[in-house]
Amino acid sequence: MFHLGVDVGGTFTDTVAIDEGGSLFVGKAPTTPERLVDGVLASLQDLARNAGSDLPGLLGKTAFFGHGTTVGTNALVTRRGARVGLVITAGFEDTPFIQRAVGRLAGLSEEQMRKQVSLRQPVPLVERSCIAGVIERVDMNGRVLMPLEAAEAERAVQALLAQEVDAIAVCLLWSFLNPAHEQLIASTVQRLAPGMPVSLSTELAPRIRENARCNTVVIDAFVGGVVKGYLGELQKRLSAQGLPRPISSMQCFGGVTEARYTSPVNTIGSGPVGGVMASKYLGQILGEKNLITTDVGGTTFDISVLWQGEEIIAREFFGAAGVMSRFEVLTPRVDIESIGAGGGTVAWYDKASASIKFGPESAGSKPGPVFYGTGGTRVTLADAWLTLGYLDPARFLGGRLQVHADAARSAIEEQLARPLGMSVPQAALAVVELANHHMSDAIKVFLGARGLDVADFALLSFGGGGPMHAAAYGELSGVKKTYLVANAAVFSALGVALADTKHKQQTTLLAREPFDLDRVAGSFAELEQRLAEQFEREGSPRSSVRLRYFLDLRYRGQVHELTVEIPSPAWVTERGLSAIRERFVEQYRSVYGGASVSSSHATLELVGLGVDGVAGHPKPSLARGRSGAASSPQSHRDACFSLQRGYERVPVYAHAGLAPGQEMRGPAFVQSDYLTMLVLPGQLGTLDDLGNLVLEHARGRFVR
Amino acid sequence: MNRPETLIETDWLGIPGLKRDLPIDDLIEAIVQDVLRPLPYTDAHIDPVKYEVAVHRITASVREGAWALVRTSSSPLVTECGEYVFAVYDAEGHAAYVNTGVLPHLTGTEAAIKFIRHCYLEDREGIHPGDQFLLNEPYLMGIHTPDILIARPVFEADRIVAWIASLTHTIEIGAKDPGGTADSTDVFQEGIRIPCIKLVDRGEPVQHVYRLIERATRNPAQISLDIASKVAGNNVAAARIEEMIAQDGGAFVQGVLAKMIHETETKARERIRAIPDGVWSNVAYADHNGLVPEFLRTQVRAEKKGDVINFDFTGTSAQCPGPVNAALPGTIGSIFTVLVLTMFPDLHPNRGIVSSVQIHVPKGCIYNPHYPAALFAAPPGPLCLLSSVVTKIVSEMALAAGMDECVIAPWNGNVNAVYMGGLDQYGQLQGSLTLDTNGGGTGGTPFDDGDDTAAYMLAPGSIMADVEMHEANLPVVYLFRRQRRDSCGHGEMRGGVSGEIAVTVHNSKQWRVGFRGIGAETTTTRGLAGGYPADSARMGFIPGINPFSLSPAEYGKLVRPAEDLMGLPGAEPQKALIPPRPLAPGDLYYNAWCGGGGYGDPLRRDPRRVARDVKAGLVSRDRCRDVYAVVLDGQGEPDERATLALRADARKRRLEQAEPAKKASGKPGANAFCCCDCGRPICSREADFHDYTPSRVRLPASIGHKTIRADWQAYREYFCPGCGSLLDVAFEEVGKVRPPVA
Repeated sequence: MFHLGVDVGGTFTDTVAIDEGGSLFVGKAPTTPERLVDGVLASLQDLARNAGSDLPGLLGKTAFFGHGTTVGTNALVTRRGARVGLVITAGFEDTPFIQRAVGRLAGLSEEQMRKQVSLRQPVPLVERSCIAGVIERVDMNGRVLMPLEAAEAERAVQALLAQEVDAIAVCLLWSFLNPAHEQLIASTVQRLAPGMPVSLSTELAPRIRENARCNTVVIDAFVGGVVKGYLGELQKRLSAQGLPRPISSMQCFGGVTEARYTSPVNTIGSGPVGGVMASKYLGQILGEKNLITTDVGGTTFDISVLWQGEEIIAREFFGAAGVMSRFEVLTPRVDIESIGAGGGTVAWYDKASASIKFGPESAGSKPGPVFYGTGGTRVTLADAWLTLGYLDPARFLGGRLQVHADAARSAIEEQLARPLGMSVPQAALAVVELANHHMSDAIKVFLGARGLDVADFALLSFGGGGPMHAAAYGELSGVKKTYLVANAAVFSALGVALADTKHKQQTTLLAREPFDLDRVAGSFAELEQRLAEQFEREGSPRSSVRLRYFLDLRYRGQVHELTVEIPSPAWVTERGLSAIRERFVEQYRSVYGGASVSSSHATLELVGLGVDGVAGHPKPSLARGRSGAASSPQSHRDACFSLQRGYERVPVYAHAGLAPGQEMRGPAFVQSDYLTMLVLPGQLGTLDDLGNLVLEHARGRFVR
Repeated sequence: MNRPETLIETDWLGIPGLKRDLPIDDLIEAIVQDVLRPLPYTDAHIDPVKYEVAVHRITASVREGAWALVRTSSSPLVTECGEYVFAVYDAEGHAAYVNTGVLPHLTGTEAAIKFIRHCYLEDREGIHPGDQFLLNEPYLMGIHTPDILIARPVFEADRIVAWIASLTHTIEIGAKDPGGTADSTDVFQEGIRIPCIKLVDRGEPVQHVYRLIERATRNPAQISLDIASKVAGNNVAAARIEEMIAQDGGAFVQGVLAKMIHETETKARERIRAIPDGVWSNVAYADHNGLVPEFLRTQVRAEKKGDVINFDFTGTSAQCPGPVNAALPGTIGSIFTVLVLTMFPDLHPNRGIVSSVQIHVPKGCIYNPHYPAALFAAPPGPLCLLSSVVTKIVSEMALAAGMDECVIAPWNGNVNAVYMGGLDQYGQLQGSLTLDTNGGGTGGTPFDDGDDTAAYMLAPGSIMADVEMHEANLPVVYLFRRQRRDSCGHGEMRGGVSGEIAVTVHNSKQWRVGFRGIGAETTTTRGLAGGYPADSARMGFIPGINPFSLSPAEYGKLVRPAEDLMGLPGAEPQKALIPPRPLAPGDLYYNAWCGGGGYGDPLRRDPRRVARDVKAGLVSRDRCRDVYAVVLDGQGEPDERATLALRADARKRRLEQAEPAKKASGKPGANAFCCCDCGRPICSREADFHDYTPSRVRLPASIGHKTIRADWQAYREYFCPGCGSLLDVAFEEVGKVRPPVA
């Protein structure tokens, strides 16, 4: 039986299948933006061929079908979604337009924020004429100050129906403490327009902060039709081809759920989570509990972390859980940070400082690097790679693209080398070095801001450019070990194939010390019950579900809470407040340093609590022990790693031919169709029995 | 330790001519003025690649430190509103990189670090690795007492290589009323004031200093956490810089910091040079001196010559008896804020831009008052107004230089913060501030309307708290928070609209609420290039309304514009600055703030945009007709023919009603200032076009600006003599203004 994973990328749709023996098969086909399902099926056909089967044969033997969909993200970015109606507390109808003035800033870099003349808040996804205020009010204790009358609910819903909306989102103030009014709206919609999709804030984001909560339901309603439609069509066509079971969908907070139960908003931003899930799986096999995951793509460098074997959940600067396409939301998501540094990132000469600048602008894949010959004129990181000999011109993208090496070289000469008074290789080396430092700085800031120490981690590199750069940024960032991942080019799809089922339940509970511990225990019991229902409907046996418990705590007056994991609800009632405080202070110190803890009179505030459930799927291990035995290079290629060394003749090994345990002293390249691994001069690489190239930095450092 | 400066008596702290033993007031003044000194630069010939790597590392360190600060601060102004500054300085205290927060502190914090060096270098126990210093003296640093800076030196062995400093706006500082004051008469009533004190001694907190500060405020736990957050942020950033020093040496890091400043200076000078030489000026008015309503003038003249702009405040009203004054460091910082955000957004924000600027502010005027004048309302009052005044000047320069991407009409020139305090719903003593006004309107630009309910220029990283967060922390319930109709300056590209709130007190019997800001009876915000000024603010109380005892239908009637609430029986509209007054549960307060200025003649606005705004409720039907001259049909769509006719008629009437130009045009020559509409040459570029164009006076109330005092302020419209296009709308001084410094 196979575990099957699909990752729909910007250029290619990747599919992988793993059988019980751990053998891995790969399929690839161009992504078909207008009809994504066609691309998925083409990729699956390719996969079936490579696995020595046909599509019905492959699907018939599939035990798990995981899918990372970007249709929700695309609908959001291109703003092609449903006509959304919004019901909101009267007096606050402009909330999506005011965006608490954070819309101007959320999701932007420091540099982008300073462009104040041209900055504008994003245009909301809901039109003014489709917003209906209802007279009702609940206070911060969940007490009803102004009742919602049935006639008022009906009036609002009718007003939206008259606007011919496709879906209705509901966000009332303080509803997460008293959901009755939102539920009345929902039942009114069901009565007046049966079948109309309704997104309730009390269900999707039962947390304080109305702006982010409102955005969450509006986005859910906006992309809902598209996501459900796509997943439904895929399921139908796969079933027709013989898939015997329901497909599962990746979620932005990690793990998968059956596609029919997925909340559309939870699919947004789930793309890069596949790589983190694959890292989690690989980490378990490798016995690495603390991993930094890095993905070098065409335009971005994505960083995330697995701490004690678990993905971590993001907390935004402005208090929201996340930002989706410049809208702050309360959807929990895996903490992944993206900076503008990838193969397409542009480098240029700056006259005033007589220096060279890198990013964050990107030529992306259109117009692309100069050497693509597709209209790009500005020097990119990938042009520097090619000029320095890091890319194999004959086999770039598996030989699918004609490479214009001379154009890249003369662009570097004109735009960088001449004004800087440098040689072409010197300028190209400068671009690569800047990129390496941007990446390693980003790793340090990411870990530092979360109170983590780089020295406790190993690093995994994947994505098209990861294994080529990681030898450098891994060493610079200070990790002890860097893995150049064997299946880097299809790593996200692998993660989707092997992810476990995950559900998250959270609730808001505002309280100041001393908390009512019985009430806390009661809330946990309620969340456990809701989780049990979710797993039950997907047929996950209770015994397979592992639960984790969290308290969101902060000092009084703070806005950003710290999520503290506790062993069990019973622990709270048994050990009491002092134990909670102890855990909080310990974690607070580790994140913010000893000096950050203030004097004793700061009281603790409880903000909320949560329970995560993960149902592990029985899954194969990757096959160990590889057949290859060749220890000699397939060929050689001239490449340059430092000015002192100049161009040198570097051995190129074919990845498929290498034997486990083989060591290679850098410089060396290891290549396959879609992947180049690089070991720098002085470094020592060892091939493990999964095909990863492992650099233990203590055993050899880059010699310039 | 670190005392080479003492060898040269005349150059104390490295500041030319400064003497160590000057009287304290003179010394502070000299340090403040030193912000404007161009720095000598010696190129350390740093490898360009190593330089860029280091710059990236330094900016990343600042980000990491700021992140740690924001996440641990307990001041809602930091965590919810982004009001903080985090920066790295050279060994002498010159800013090399400042992150986007409250930018007016860009330069004032330099003075703070220099003063720390003055106090501790020689005279006392010295400055040691691991030390941190705290200060909030507004006459030294600006802007007002709640702004607390904590600075930490970064050492290589026993030599200071750099400084890290962070500053936050603390919500409570122990002023005469909870959450601040609106009617203080000197700075001694504005809370605890610390010129400079050692807070952390070689890594060890000095406990009695913490106790001193905590005891001085109403929210002791909050301020101590806020201090802790800055200490933590400084430590994080300092550790990163120390790593760099360990790797590349202190001299290298110093060379990089100097080069960062020099890079900005070079680029800034180049950009200023591209502007044609000339003179620009702007005048705007405030309406309250902190004690009583009074008509106050802010007058700025800017002369640009070569690569320097000289700002001169001569003609500005003398200082106020109340807190409507700004100390010089804040004044200087506000000018820089405008420059950074309009002309230099792509440069490293640092003191490199000061070399392009000279600033003269007469001693004793609102923007450079004599110590110890009250300062508490500086940010929402004079400094906000100044940002609006300078934005117009800088945008007109940019227009003259063809730098259209830098052009923006003034943003809201005032905010009106609601401040409050007493016993909250938890029974705890607290003073606080709600900055919904951070959602002000930005100005219109040549390319687009201003941004609605979007920003506050002096703190471009600032945001509004969620209503639920306000209600969780304070004993209040909001009846509405929404966008305010007609609050923008109208124009071809209108300004951004502002917002309005109505709020009732809930679950507290001891709660007081006041307003701090200006601009209830004057408008502070001009338009640009023929755009109109924005409307003034509205605030007030409606006692005893008990909204939640009403029927749903009656309650619904309260959810309407503040403009209408003012007319309800029992409503008490207020002037600009109101000290906190006790409110009972069920009493209501409302606040409607100011939008951004318009860009260009409203008669040129696309009628479809006007129709869209009317549908959205952002522009009224009255203004649609009398300002935009757009005729809408039954569906609310523009009637093109009728609109064309109405607009032609409006232009005709303008010229008919206008007084003739003061001077005859003559022959302006080839390089003339021309009407942007019909292209008609009006006067030479060097001349002031206002002298050569017909004009008419208009009462603010005639375009709906109802609360502006007609006996103080009017609008004068200047028209193209050829086509009647509106070229500028200036403020006309009708009433008696507080005179300038004699």
